[in-house]
Amino acid sequence: MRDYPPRLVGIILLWIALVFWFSALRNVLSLPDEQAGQLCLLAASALSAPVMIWPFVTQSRRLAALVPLALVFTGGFVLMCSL
Amino acid sequence: MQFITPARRARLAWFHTQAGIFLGWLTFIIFLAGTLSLADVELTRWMQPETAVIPDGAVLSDAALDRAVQILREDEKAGRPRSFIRLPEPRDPALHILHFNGHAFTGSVIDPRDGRTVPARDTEGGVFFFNFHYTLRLPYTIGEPLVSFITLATGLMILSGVLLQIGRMIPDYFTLRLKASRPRFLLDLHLLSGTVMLPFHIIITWTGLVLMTGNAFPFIPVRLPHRPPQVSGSFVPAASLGPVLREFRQRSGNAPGYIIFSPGKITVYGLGSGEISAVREPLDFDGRTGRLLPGDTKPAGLTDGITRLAWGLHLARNMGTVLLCLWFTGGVLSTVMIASGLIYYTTLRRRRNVSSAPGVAERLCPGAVGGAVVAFFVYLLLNHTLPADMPGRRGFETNGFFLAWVMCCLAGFLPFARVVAGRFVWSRLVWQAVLALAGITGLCVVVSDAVIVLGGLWLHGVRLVINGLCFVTALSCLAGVYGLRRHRVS
Amino acid sequence: MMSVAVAVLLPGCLLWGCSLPYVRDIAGFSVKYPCRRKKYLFRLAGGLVLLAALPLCPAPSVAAGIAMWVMLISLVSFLCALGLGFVRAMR
Repeated sequence: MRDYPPRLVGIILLWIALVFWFSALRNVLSLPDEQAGQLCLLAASALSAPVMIWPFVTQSRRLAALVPLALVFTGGFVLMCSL
Repeated sequence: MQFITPARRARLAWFHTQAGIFLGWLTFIIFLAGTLSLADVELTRWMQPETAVIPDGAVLSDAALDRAVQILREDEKAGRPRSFIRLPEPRDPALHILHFNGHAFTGSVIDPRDGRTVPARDTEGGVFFFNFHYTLRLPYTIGEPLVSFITLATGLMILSGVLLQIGRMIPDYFTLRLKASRPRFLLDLHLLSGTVMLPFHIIITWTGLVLMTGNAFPFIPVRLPHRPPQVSGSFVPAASLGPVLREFRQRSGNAPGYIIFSPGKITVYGLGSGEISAVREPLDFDGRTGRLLPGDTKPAGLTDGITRLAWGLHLARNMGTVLLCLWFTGGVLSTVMIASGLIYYTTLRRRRNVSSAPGVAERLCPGAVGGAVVAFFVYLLLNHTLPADMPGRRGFETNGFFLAWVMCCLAGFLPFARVVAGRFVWSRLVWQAVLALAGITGLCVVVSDAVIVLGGLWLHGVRLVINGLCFVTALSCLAGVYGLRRHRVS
Repeated sequence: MMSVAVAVLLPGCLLWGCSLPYVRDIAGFSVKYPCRRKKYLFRLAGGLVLLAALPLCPAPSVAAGIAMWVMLISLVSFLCALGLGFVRAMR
């Protein structure tokens, strides 16, 4: 049972990471604003399920929380740089 | 190397069941309302029997359009909300002047042949389910983010379910053991409806996410779309709408579907003819002269095309009757999949631990799942039995829907159910009561329609299909009452 | 056109179904039948029939045609399963 809370936290962190990374990507893309937004939304919605299920697929519960956390921090950093 | 190891399977199964038990109730409601909203136009026609006097394929006259503009002018003078016109289409021959009441589009109905106002009863009709589907009848700021969050979770539940069953997907494809014990039968039904309709489940969830994606992924910084400055003035056009629609037909090659008004401008949206894509390029006309205004001639990009296709696949507005019927069946099977999963889980828990008191999930299950059918029938029944000119009848209908549902949910928590029935047959008795109620209410709906719509109008296709579906659902519920009597108690 | 499409769809689904153990059980075949090679042959034949019949779909556009075909296959499969379930329950 104690195996699951870090994995659930991992799912939420991955969602935040998706928001950060795709926000940064949208700012970086050299497409018109509307098209870049649409592309990012389509990609984010298509990738959301396969990416966010990962914490429950991976073996290590530590990795299940730490990898998403790292993705959130790096995504936040890239987003800050892209603003 | 095997991808789905026993440990991985256990983790995925835990996630699938826990996510299902916490969010499955709302997912069930969303899928049920979404399925019903596919037939929202037909349900509204059924719920406004007064409009049955308008024959299918009635030709739109200029007199009707002039009358519509006159009503718009009167509404503007009276300070009523801004309205738009929905033109006759193959699914609904009436001309509607609609405004948003905070939850649904309602308004006057006009006979397209002569512009006479049809005294149709005040109801939200099938649009109630459309709004309920994506807001859960909550304020938009809460409802839409909540539904998009549930859509995200549904995607995860579907993927975890597929991963759990990936090895057994083909053998389970044709397995339905009707005579097996209740949990086995429910699991078979859950797997079968999940497997055969898997492409539909994926399509409908992903396209739903695309529609709600602004809430699901609030990108930073949120750039609000460029809005043109607000222009003050009258919304009601001075130009006659007849020539405008003729020019629209000529220019676009499509039949016009909606007319939206803004100061000095008339925007006409076309109806697709069997294409899936939801959004058609509108044409703008000058509100005073009726002349075509120069529009944006930029061709739609690839992402735009994919987004429109996704919207079209979800909204199912332009896909034609055959595909719409298949979509409806798919929606019914999706709802069955979620319901069977919910009932299976609660039944399985009881089987594993028969001596324990029923938990909240088990108490809630009959009312939440079976009660939804009761509430739907109560909504239809109130529509037909309340006086047609009763003030505030629209509110009575929707409140009746929720009241019936809440009452059914509370039935599981009544203390006498446990005292009278004892712990072993408790759940079965509540299920039987809810299903019997659904069956009887459903039969009342069919009878009430036969009583109200006299003169052979009930033989009309739309009424016949909806009454037929209500009748079959009611009989299935009554058969369920009988079937539960014979089933081994888990 | 629709009835022709469904008429082709049924044998396609049945061919596919012949490779499934549950259908073999209903039909009274021995558990060992069909052998692995025959099983995949049935699946291939069923799949090819379903694919070959795709152009018969009376849809106005390619996207609508694919969507209609996928839904028809799913629905026919579900009805087959329901029918076989009833056959099994009656036996």
